[in-house]
Amino acid sequence: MEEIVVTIDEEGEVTIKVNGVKGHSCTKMTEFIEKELGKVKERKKTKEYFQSVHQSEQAKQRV
Amino acid sequence: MSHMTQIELEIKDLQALKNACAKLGFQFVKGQTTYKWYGRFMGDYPLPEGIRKEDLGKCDHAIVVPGAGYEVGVVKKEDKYILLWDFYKAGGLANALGQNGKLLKIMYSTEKVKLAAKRKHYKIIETRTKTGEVVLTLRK
Repeated sequence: MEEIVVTIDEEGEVTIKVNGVKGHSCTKMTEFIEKELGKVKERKKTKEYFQSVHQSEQAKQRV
Repeated sequence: MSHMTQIELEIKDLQALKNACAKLGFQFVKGQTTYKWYGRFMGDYPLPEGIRKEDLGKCDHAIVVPGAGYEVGVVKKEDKYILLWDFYKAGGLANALGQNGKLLKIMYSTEKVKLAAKRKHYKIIETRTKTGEVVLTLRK
């Protein structure tokens, strides 16, 4: 299931995660919250993010 | 999970700030141009960026905290708002707002995310952990 999870810790630090979305589209999904809350301090891309890009590149080459 | 973002909070939305105040039992006073504080800057803490000591006590809006002698000033600086408040214990704000105003910031962030998510037609599930974290799960 696609979902955005926003965690606000006890010190007020805000972290946004995306679950269930592969590839670059996940960063688009969170853009609206990032813009409204402030500035992006750090963005970490996980293995899933890169794997899916690699897979879609392979798919393009096959075509 | 495909990516994770950490955000540096900026207060830009007065409606979310009003909602946060209401949730905490504070009164947001639109257009109040002064806020109550000690009245004299002792120089014992750094001022927020863009604020001079002559600016202290002046604001665009204010937040009244029941039971506190001092108030919070909401000052517009470019496209964002800065919260000014005197944390001197006798003023009564330190407990209500938490260290560095974190309780108000947590509530503001929560309300801001909810407003933004509603506009995009997300369903919002709000939970609080035992350690005090607020977790907002957004699904379509």
